[in-house]
Amino acid sequence: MAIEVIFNIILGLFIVFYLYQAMQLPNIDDTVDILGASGFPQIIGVLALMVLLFITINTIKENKSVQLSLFNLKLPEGRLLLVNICLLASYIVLLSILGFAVSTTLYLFIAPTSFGYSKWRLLTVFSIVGALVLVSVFGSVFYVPLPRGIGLFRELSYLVY
Amino acid sequence: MKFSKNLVMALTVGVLIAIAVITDIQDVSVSSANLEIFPRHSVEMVIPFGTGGASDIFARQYSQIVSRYLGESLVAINKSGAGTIEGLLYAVNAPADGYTILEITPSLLIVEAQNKSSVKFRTEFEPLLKIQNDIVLFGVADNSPHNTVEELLTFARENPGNLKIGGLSPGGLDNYIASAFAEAAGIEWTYVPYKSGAELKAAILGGELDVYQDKLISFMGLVSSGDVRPLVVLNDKRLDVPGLQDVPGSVEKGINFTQGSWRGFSIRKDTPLEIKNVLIEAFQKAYDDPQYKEMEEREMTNLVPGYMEAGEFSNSWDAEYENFATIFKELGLVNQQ
Amino acid sequence: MDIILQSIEVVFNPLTLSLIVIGTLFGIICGSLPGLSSSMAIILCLPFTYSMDPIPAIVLLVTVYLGGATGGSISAILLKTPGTPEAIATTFDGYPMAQNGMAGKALGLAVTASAFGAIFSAFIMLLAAPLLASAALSFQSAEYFGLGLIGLGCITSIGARNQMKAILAVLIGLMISTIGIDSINGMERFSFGQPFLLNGINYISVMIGAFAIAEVYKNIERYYQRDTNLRTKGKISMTLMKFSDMAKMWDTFLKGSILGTLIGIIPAAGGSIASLIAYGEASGRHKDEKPSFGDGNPRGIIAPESSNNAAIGGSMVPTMVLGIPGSPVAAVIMASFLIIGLTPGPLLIREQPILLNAIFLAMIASALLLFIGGRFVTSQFAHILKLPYPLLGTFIVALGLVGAYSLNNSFYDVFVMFIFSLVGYFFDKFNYSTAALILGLILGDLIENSLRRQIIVGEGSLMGFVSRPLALAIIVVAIITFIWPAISKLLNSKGS
Repeated sequence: MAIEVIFNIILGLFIVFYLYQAMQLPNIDDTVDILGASGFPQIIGVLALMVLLFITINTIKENKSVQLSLFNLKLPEGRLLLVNICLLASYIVLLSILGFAVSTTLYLFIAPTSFGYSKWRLLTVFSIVGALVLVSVFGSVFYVPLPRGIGLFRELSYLVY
Repeated sequence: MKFSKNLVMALTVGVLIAIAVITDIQDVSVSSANLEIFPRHSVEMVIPFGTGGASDIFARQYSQIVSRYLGESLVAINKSGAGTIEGLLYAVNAPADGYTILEITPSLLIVEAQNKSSVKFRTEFEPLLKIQNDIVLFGVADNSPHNTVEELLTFARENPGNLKIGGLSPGGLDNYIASAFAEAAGIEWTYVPYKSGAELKAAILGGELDVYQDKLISFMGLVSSGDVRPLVVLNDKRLDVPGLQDVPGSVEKGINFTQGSWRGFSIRKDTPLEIKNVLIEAFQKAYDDPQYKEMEEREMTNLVPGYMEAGEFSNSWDAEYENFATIFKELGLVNQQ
Repeated sequence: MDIILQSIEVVFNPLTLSLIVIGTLFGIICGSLPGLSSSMAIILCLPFTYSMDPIPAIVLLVTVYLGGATGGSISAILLKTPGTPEAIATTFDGYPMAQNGMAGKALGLAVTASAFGAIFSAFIMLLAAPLLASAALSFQSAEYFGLGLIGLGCITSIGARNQMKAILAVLIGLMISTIGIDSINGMERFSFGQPFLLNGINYISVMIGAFAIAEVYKNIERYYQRDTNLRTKGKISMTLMKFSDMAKMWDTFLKGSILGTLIGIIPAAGGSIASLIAYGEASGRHKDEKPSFGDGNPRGIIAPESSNNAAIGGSMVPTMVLGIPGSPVAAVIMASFLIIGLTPGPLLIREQPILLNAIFLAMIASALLLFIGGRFVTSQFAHILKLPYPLLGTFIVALGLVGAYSLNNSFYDVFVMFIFSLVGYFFDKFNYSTAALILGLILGDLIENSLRRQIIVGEGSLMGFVSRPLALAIIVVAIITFIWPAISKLLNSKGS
């Protein structure tokens, strides 16, 4: 229960912040657009607060426990999940440095190992073929300007796509 | 699990070291490459608009013609985020080596005039070539009581704010045209923005709007079907197009306001002169290509020639910028920061 | 009659027929890849049409459109990643059905329903185009507002597990939809000076994050708990539905197609809104069926898929008759008319009498091909499910990432995807419906803008919603959709 109440509090803070921002919006004096920029956000914000209050009261009454392995690093699946989320985050960061082809190959290789996957030969093939497929379909067939990275990687990427 | 975790750690560290090393030596390798012949590989044309719009389709067709004269392909890419700002940022952050070209329309000047982007378009970019003009017309639905532009203006003067004129996106070119025209004509009307040209047309035919504005080719569709009665061309003279010969220009009616859309290309300011000249030459040749002439005729953008060389083009930016800044300040749409 | 024969001649020749095959397959592939839209696929086909005659060129583009709307369901069903916006509602039941080991049946249903919807709307387009096109014009801001409300009515079914939490999720979705430049007065809202927030938050990147990536997170947890479900490598075959089974659900096919065609005709609403409304209608009417909606009810696939393909024929109606495109993709097709050498607009049908028939025939041929093409492509896709989960999950993440990036070729969408993958994870844990969040996000724009636009054209008064009969009727239906579950509960309790 406690953890869900915390979640509700975070949601509540988000809504209050949203409402506060909505109130701050400058009001152009417009006789026709009576709702203006802030009208609709204020209506839904207030509604959301009311619904949230109702839900929170129910949560406290029901007192059910929820398993959140992400915050329980004693559990192996919690650690695995956290490692994977971090891997995804670093993949995103590396994209703009290494370019798409290189960072995707790396990600496709590293992420499965975090599961304890260890068929190395298959993994190598998978990461190279997988990256190649994504690069050729998105980059070459559909002309998506995939990130090229910087410096040397940028120059290299022109050879691939 | 433990093994794999260590492996992940080791690999990550290895990658990070590799990056540090490689990014350190990058500067040397690039600067020496610049002296080679241009272009060595494909050139990107950044379109700061979404796929399928008039500016997108123009740029894509034009890029194909330019490719023939450039010797390498000119690849059109869309960076439409944040109302052209994403495309602007992308082009600014690319190296000034001539491999990234930015398509431009009045929208980029408007974004600068509204002070929305930290990157100032005119200080970072210089023009290559302006290619075409697109004329804007005003009209009403065929069952409207207003038969001429005078009648419309008289009605607007007697009933300020009563007429509704549509357009795309608030704070965009259409908004500017509606407001600046109203100011020049001494009237007041209400600007109603829509999300797409389709909704705008449905609104005028369905009776939600009183006044319709659109670019020529799009406007002509409804004129030839008889659904819309053209009232005024925002131009200094009439257009020699069947169905529009009797439609007065705004200047002729004493309203000193002409504005349409235009399309051209620009490049980062510190691009080496030799590279810039190669690009200008290719764009110039594409302009003279019969295929472009044919395309221009189809899209009716040849009525008021838009062609302008870099120097003149650059001056026109400053003039338009001032107009945009004035009107949008009055509308309260200029960012104060 | 002459015209019909002529158009048959133009369409049923080897070149055009092969274009139909190529267009449909290309559309399916493009549609099944997240982030690549049908508009993009059509733009990419344009250069090839320069050297063609107008009719084959248009045939190619229309079949790409049709293939794209179908292809979106493939990744929606297999990976919980809707390949196109239109496939959003297909994930609600398609993915659970595939997880229950019936991926083949789900894909078969999707393809069948798509083909049915396309054929239905093609006939409507051919027979009633002029009539319907002018009816579409009675749809103005007040009616759009009502349509948006009906769309919101979906939550009564997709959030049936926890109604209040679903409502909160919708409200949060609506809140997120207000981020960016206000489409009525141009003011910046909730953008905190960040240019990347000006265009708002793209719901497709939110979907990829909150649906596909969050699902991978969930499976990672389960993987460690040695969940058997993930290890079954059931062979995925493409069993087309038996006619007898299909006949039992004829009403859903038909209603989905009718709703899709009608909503497709309306300029500001396309396949995605059509599929949501059709889904809402089907799930509301058959909510006591087992398996229930959200757990893999076949009608939950039929309704959105038949309607999103029917929206294609629908959207071509005003495009051809009025020169007003019925959907963003139809707008691209209309723009390409010009390049191909046809003057878009109302005179098109008169000057090119064969064109409408040719489009009709192409749609029929392409729809028939879907059964075969769909079988081929989906069986290729199914190989991906045979991968061990560590590889499959990783690949889904990479695919989702490149998909999010491709939307606007922007890192910012990737970032949004990442944030919402976490939001999706928590929403799931606490029983908030992510589908409801997306629903609010998609419809927020339509609801707020049409509401305010109607107030503006009504000069500050709300009377327009009451004085326009069609608008009033739609709004009343929407309100009934909202309160019906409560009423029926009340009636039931009284009865017992």
